[in-house]
Amino acid sequence: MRDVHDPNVRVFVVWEPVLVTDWHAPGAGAVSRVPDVRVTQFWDPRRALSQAIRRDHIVWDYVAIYRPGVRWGDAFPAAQFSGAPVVRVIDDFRRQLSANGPSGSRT
Amino acid sequence: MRAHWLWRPGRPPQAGGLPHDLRGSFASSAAAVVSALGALSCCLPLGPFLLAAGSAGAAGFLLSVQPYLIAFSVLMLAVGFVQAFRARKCGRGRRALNVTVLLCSTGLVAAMLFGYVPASAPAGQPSVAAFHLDSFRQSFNAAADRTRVVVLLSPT
Repeated sequence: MRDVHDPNVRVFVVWEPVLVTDWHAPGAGAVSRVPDVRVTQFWDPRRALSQAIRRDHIVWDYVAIYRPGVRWGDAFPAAQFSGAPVVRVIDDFRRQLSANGPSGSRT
Repeated sequence: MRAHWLWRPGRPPQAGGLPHDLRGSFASSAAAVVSALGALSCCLPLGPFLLAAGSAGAAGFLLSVQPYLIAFSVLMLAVGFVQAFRARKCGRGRRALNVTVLLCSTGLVAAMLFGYVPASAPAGQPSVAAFHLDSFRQSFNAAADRTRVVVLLSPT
């Protein structure tokens, strides 16, 4: 997020149990990895968001960008960009986010 | 859309091969059997302690009943301590096994209790919230005038 300069971008980080070692909520070490003030973090022990995105698989280690104006109605909206694992798509992610330019005017 | 975006190769989502519910059932069953064996020994606190540890362990997997299992673990831990105290009064004294089980059970239950509560968010962020689909949808739509990024991660 240090490389993303848009002050209006809103980031939702959702932690969910996937591995056998994920029997607890994210600890200080995990949540401190995203210290940016534009971020809101959640703990989703039932993987509800993963199921909302894709019902037949666990969606994790995943990042998605949604353009301004996209709303979540009956179904979770299609992303402008999505990919996983994050480490492999991070460069594409940065490019896509930068290409969007500053978003929003209300704070 | 990329084919590999569902999980990282080499780190399957269901590591160990069993779904969470099955692993939880197995853990619960194992805890029940071990607890029953422990309870057979007169004046020994093994049963409650093992039951506490088993419940705390199962709570890690049986997410839907996690609060109840954690409460049950704490209750069993208290019962175990009472039994341990009474065992000393009836002259059996402490055994290394008892002390070991006591420490392991207490540690496991404490870890579950601390792990159940998310850590504090970094400065400037709202506190880490329990996820509710409807409220998340509202937050997502409330920010519809700007670019939004959604990230799904595993704590470990």
